[in-house]
Amino acid sequence: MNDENITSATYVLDPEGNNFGITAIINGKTAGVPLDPANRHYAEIQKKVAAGELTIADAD
Amino acid sequence: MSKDKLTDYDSTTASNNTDVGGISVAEGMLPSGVNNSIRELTKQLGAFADGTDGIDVLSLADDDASHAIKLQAPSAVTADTTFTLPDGDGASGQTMITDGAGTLSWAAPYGNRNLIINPAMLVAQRGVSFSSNNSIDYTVDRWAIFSNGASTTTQESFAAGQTDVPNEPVKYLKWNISTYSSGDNLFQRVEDVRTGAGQAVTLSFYAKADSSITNRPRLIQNFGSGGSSEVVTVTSTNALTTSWQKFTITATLPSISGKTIGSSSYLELEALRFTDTFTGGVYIANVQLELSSTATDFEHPRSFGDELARCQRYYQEIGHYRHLAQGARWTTNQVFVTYNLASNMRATPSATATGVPNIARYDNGQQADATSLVAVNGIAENTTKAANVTIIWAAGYDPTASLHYVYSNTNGDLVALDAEL
Repeated sequence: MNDENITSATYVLDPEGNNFGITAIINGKTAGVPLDPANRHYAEIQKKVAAGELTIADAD
Repeated sequence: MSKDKLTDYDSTTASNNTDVGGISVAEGMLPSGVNNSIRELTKQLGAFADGTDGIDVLSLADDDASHAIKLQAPSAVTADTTFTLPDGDGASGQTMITDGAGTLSWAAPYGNRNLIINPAMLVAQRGVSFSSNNSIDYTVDRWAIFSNGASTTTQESFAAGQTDVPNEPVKYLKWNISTYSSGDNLFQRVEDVRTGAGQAVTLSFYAKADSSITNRPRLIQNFGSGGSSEVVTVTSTNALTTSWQKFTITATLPSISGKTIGSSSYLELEALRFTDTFTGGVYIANVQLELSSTATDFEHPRSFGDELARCQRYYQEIGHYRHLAQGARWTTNQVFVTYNLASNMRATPSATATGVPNIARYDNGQQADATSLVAVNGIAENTTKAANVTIIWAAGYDPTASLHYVYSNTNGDLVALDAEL
């Protein structure tokens, strides 16, 4: 499988203080990633987190 | 006139048929004419049976002979043509096609048979030149390079009137490789791993290279997030040379019986993947992947608009230069802005900004530049129908007002929405 190059990920909060998205660096560019398993970037982030290759930082 | 074949006989007035191949069967005929005429008649039937002599019309009558289905040749035929029927019936919904040499077979009806989107490399929403280095990089629509080496990919134009690739294709893709790392490939993902599972699929494409190289395409059944492990089918090799050639590869994909299908499964075609290291340009055009054990002619051309709409299910761009969108305050440093999309997208997209959108309040001129964008999930009933993009701005902007507007002042600015597989 061809994998994405994702180097950082940080949660983004909604008005109630819940995580609703992730700001990630993908192939060197900042991208907003929804928490949708059908989104390939989110799926790849989850895979890297499970493999211990990436940690999603809490929102500032 | 001597009646030498079946079509010479009068089919309405028997008394007009007074000879068989010149042997008289008229009143007062010689006795020897009986057996000689029968022999002549059986010869004529034999000539009919083996196709030496034809008939005008083949009539297949209904049960009471009141009506018939009739088959006949055109009034003028320029050359003998023999059609050989397929051995047995086809599957439900199939149609009969010819191989161009008179052999007929059953096949899926033409139209929408190519599983590849943007097979002629026409649609290029992201641009026409791309660099790849240690990542997945999408190029012209739906086509991506996976590279651990370094390369550039460009959309190129065929010269009008060229005949190396037939039927006047407009574009092709050039993958110019500086460093090839084993496994680097040009790929496209076809939605749903059920596609072609347990069936024969045929890949065909035109390709050439700056120097000879062996290509070995692969087909990968990926069962999606939460699904079974992917299954790789390695196809046969094809030898690319410095001249355009058409390559055809048939493979049978494994059944998916017993597999678990997760979210966003797909069938991945790695159309270019080499067996050895390579430096230089590789060129590819008119790629077709179809559910068939034989290759049909390239499905050309689907209209540009049709192809673009197909591509926009996976990628589209919004918020271009001077586009003005309204937004509503969401948090102390966020508004969300809903953009109408050209078409529904496959999934909630990721959002990437080229340039920095500006944000301003309606009640005064206060402005700020956005710092990041997030495509929101779960706001609309179907978030694939509109992009609810949350704009996060830099500090120093007063969000008190509930209505804001977002715009771009720089040509080339846009927000890219990516729902690729």
